Amino acid sequence: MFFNRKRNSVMDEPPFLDGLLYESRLEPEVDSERFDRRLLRNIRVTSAKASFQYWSPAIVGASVASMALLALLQMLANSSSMKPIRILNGDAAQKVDSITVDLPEGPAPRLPVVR
Amino acid sequence: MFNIGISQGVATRGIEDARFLERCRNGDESALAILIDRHRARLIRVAANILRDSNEAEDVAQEAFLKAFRELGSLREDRAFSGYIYRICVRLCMDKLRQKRAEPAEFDFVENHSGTAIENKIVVHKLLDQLSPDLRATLVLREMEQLSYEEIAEFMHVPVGTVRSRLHVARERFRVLWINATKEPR
Repeated sequence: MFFNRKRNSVMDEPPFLDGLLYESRLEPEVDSERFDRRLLRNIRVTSAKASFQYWSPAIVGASVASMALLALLQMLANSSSMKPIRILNGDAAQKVDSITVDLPEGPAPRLPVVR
Repeated sequence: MFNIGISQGVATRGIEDARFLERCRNGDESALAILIDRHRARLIRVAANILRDSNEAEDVAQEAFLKAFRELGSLREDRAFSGYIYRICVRLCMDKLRQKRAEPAEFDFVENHSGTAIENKIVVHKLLDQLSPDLRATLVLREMEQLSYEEIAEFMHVPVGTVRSRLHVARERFRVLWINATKEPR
C-alpha cells in the first residue's frame, strides 16, 4: 500500500531525557476573542495603509493637475475682465521727465541760398 | 495506520486552507477569521515554547499573521499556507532570541533539586536560555512540538541534514547542562 508516510517522526526515536522537554512545554491560555479583534483591526489598518500607499501617487498627481486647471481657469477669467488700453487722439503718448538741450552761443548760422 | 491518518489530515487541512485563502482574496472577512482560528493556538504555542514567554508569543503570533496576510502574493502554493505561516513565526522568534542574546542569563545549578514538574519547567526554561537561537529552536520544535525533521527543515528554512546535526548538538549540550544543573554540589 502506497502512502505519503511522514518520515523521521518522533515515534521513530526513544524519548529524549525521558520526555523531560515535552513535559515542560508551555500551553499558553489565550483570550481568542481579544486576539482576533486586535488582529483583525491591525489587518484593516495595514490594508488601509497599503491601499493609501498604492493610490497616493495618483492622488498627488490628480491634485496637482486640478490646481493647475484652477489656476488656468482663473487666468482666463481675469483676462476677459481686464480694461483695454486706450490711446488718446490716436497718438502715442510719450512722457519725458526732463530734456536739456545745449544750444551754441552767438548768431545762428546762415543757411546757404540756392538760386 | 496512525501515520496515514496524520498525512491525510495534513493534506485535507492544506486543501481547506487553500479554499479559505481564495475566499480571503475575494474580500471575505469571515474566511480570514476562520483561518486565524485554525492556526492561532498552535502558532502561539510554538512561539511560547521557543521564547518561553506567553505574552511575547502572542505579539509574535500577531506579527506572523499580519506578515503572512500582507505578503500572500509571495506564497506560491496556497495549500502550503500552514508551513508558510509557521516559517514566518519561527523566523520572528529567532530574531527575538538574537536580540536577547546580548544579555545572556547566568545559571549554574539548582539547589536541592526535587524534580517536580514546576521545578523542571523552570530549570528547562533557564537551560534553554543557554543554547544558541538555532539550537534552541530546533530542540523545541522537535521535543516539544514533536515535529518531523522535514517539518523542522521547512519551518527553519534549512536542509534536513542541518536539522539532524543541530538536533544532535542541541541534545548533547542540553544533556550536559541538565546533568550539571541538577547534580548535587560537592
